[in-house]
Amino acid sequence: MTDETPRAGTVFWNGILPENPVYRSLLGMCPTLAVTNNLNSAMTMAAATTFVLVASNLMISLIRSWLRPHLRILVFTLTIATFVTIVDKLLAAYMFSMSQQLGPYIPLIIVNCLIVSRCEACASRQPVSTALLDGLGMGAGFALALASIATIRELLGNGTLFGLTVLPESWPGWGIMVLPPGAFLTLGALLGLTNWIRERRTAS
Amino acid sequence: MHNSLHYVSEARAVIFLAIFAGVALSMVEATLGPRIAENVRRQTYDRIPELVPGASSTSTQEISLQPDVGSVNAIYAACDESGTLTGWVLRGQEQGYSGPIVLLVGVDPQASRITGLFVLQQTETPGLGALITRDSFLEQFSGLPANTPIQMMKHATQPGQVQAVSGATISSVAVADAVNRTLSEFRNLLEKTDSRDHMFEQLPSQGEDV
Repeated sequence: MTDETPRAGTVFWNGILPENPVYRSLLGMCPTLAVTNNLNSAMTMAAATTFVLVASNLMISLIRSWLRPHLRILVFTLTIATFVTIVDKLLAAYMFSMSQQLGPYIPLIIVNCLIVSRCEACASRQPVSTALLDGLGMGAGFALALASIATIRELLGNGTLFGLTVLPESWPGWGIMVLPPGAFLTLGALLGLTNWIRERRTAS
Repeated sequence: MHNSLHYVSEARAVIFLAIFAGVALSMVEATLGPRIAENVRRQTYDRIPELVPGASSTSTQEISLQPDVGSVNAIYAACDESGTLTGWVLRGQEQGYSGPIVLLVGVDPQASRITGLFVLQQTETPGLGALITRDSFLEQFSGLPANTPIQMMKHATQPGQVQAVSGATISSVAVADAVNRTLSEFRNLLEKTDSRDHMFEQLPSQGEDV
């Protein structure tokens, strides 16, 4: 990303498809694989990550003139860790059972490379408005990616969506889809599919 | 002299953020801390009427334990509205397939029969081991005698046996082990006069007619 200010719509849209954090940049693989066995936890994770992403982008953008190259990773980590702790406490206070279910994965947002990479690539160089749109777009792209994987895994694994039964009772439930191998299989298949579509687009 | 000021100025983002983090997190803790503590407490207390028939969450109280009680890590004296002891709720744990399984076991006042079972915490495989939290699995334990070890079977044929969750033998056996160990340790506590006296002393007005 260059230092000049890009157009608002482009910034937002970039995170959703052209630079989708999961399908294009392969960032944030840990939550992508770990919490996508049902839509409820995947969407909670996406919301928590988006909150941290937007808040960290805003904070870094606000203090970007104070940043020094050799201290920037420290500053990013401090910012991200603060917002992750806040979101962790919020979940424990208002969505207690979900917070129990997600266990260590909420604190692990701290090491999600998606956030630190947006702080580095965008927020530390761009004005607040661009950083905000970038955070929202990347968050939406991350949510879209988690939702696509979780939909397939929950549907094929349990025959449910958001915990509600959708497939007929006779559906056997492919247990492997809710287990870790199912995460790799689904991610691989969807990555292949997005690459295939992209190549066909560029060819034509 | 120029140097030290220079270093402080270089680090101003870090200093600012450290202060911001301290203030923000202490405000969050002050606002949400009591609510989170209440959630943790209610997670146990809300279950007590289901685990011990007739017990009320408000009259139930936790018994402080003497040290050295093994795997039983909390005991609740479940009382009804009038304060009469209707049973005990015991918290025990066992290593499961992918982490500790923490259980609440409800028993009658004599600790002779299981009245209910609830999984408080587990990190078992979703869709397989995590099915130990289902009512259909846990209900099998209600009414079983508390003084003989529970047998976890792949195909339960006789009354008194418990049918394991299919595909999750390790998790199911861990639940049975946790129940068996918690109950045998609790019975030892009840039999040892001094620890029994210690437990009953903490009840408001209880006859020792156990």
